[in-house]
Amino acid sequence: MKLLAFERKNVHAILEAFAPYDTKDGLAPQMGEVDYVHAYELIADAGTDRARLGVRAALWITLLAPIWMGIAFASMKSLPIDKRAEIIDRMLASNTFIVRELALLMKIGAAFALMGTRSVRARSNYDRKAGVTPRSEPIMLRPNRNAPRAFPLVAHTSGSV
Amino acid sequence: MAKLLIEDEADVVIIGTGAGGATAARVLAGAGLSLVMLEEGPLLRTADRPVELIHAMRRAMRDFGTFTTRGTHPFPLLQGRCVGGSTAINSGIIWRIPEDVRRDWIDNHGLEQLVEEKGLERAFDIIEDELQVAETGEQIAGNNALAMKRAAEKLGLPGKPMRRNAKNCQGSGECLQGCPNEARQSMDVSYVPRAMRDGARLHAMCRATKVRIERGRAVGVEGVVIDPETKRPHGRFFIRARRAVIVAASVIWTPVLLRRSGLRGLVGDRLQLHPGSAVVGKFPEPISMGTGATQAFEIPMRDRGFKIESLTLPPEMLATRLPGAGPAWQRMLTDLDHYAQWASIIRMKAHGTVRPAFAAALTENSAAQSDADVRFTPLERDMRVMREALSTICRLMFAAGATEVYPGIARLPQVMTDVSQVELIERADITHADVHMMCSHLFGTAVAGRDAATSVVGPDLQTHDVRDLYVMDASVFPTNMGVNPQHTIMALVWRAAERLAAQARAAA
Repeated sequence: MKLLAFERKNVHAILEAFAPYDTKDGLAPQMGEVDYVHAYELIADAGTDRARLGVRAALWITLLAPIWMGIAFASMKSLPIDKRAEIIDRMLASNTFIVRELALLMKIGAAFALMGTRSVRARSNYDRKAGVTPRSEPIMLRPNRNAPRAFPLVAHTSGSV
Repeated sequence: MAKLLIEDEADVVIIGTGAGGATAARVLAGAGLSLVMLEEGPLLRTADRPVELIHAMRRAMRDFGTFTTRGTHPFPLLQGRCVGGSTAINSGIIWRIPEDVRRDWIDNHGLEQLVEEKGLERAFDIIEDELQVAETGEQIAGNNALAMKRAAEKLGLPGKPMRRNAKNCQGSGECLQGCPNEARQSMDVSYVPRAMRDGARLHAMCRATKVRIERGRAVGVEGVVIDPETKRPHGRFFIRARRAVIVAASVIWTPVLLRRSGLRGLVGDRLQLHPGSAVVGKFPEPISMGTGATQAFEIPMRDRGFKIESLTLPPEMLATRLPGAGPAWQRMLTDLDHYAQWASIIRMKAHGTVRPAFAAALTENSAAQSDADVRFTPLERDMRVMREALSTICRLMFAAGATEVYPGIARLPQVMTDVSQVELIERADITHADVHMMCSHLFGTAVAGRDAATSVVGPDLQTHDVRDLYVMDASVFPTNMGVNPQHTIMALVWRAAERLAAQARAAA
């Protein structure tokens, strides 16, 4: 799913608000450390047609939340980051199923982007007591498409392919 | 018309390489029949399965886990889409069919031939031996499971270590991403390669779209070859079946395929599920979910209609599951090694339906062709059971020493810090709109039975309407079971496949 430039800017603005950069007390990614937009596009790409529709609906419902919540006549991108976080928090706690679920879709995007970034995952201490080294190289949210494939995804042990 | 890329022929064509299809392949190839196995997803070798969830799920799970039921309150149905099917993403939990379920299938569905006690026990024994089934030891169980064990003992609940097909489990906690040690005997590392050593042929990235039926008999399977990069069809295939076609495409895709092939009646009806929801708790001591078996301890409460399981979450999912956003959420993210998660699975009484998606009838579009219309709405009784399961997990969490518990139920506190708050759950009128449900245990949609008026396949798992067309997956289950279905799928298929092999030998 290809997002419009306007949508991409809002995806970034919304997802970065889940974990603002300048927070002192908590897990804060550094500016530019996490590629939120690409993670969101990867998730959207992998889903069903309906899921893609849901991902887009989640984005638009969230980016217009300041308006329909009666907070400001503005999109999320134009609000300060702490205000964005507050709005998302309210959406996640909403009693309305659809609002809560669509906000959760955005949260999934943020969580996958954050924890899919190896340096951020390390700071989360998830692996602290594990004493194991992740077996993959640092995460590549942008896989190198020119890299040779380790094996064929297709196995045709017979037939005239 | 797309180009014909593959044309092949075999005694038996098997659609799907999950627990059902791979077991059928194991038995039939071992009996000397020539086989072709068709799999819609890719063949993923262990070294190529990334540990990062975003890539692992894109490769091995159907639609990244976004395939959901329809309706106003959809929830995800998690399935594998790769060689091995859902066995390549699950935790390999092994349960034999409960005796009350077996009796019900005999008394009310006429399946005494299929689930005859001694024959079934023999099949279970062989499978458990071949797949190295063993109880999960405490040394690799991990703190997530051991905390549950402690709590169950404290509350006097019937907890026990899980039996899994992973005797040499190293406790990597990566079942979902693909066992890095190949300890879990999922079908992609066990029965599929074994069948291939016995001569079976595998065509991966081949989506069956229709069983070809001529003069009331299944004669082959047609479909499309999927490009692994674009995920779009780039050609057609046709595999002729000399003796039989076995559909083992899962409870969702088997009825879709059967209906597209012209079968009607009860095909797609009587869908039953084990939906579940999970509770997360924060502990003062490290839990380190990333260390230890993905699932290792369970509390079966079948008399109450549910089962509780320890379930390790990768950090991406754990972060999603923690409540809130912004600074409060960020504070939680700094101690991800202090959280435990325990899940419920509910034996719901509701029945749903599965049909081919409307869009698929109108278009050759790839995504539409792989879509289905699944309807399932839990009954009020089902949600009362869910409420009891979730409140029980919360009590267990506090009994294990959790300082904060996140029940994940709308309209209730998102953070509970005292066991007395659990009463709020017990008093609440919880609907399916209030909880995040998901489901990976599916049953029915092509149910087995002696009576053709009330079932789709007979006790030999051959369809009543089309000769030489068999269904060999959990679609044939007349009811759900309240326990993990993989082992029962395999044992039923083992017996049906042995019978089919004997018939083939006799005919030869």
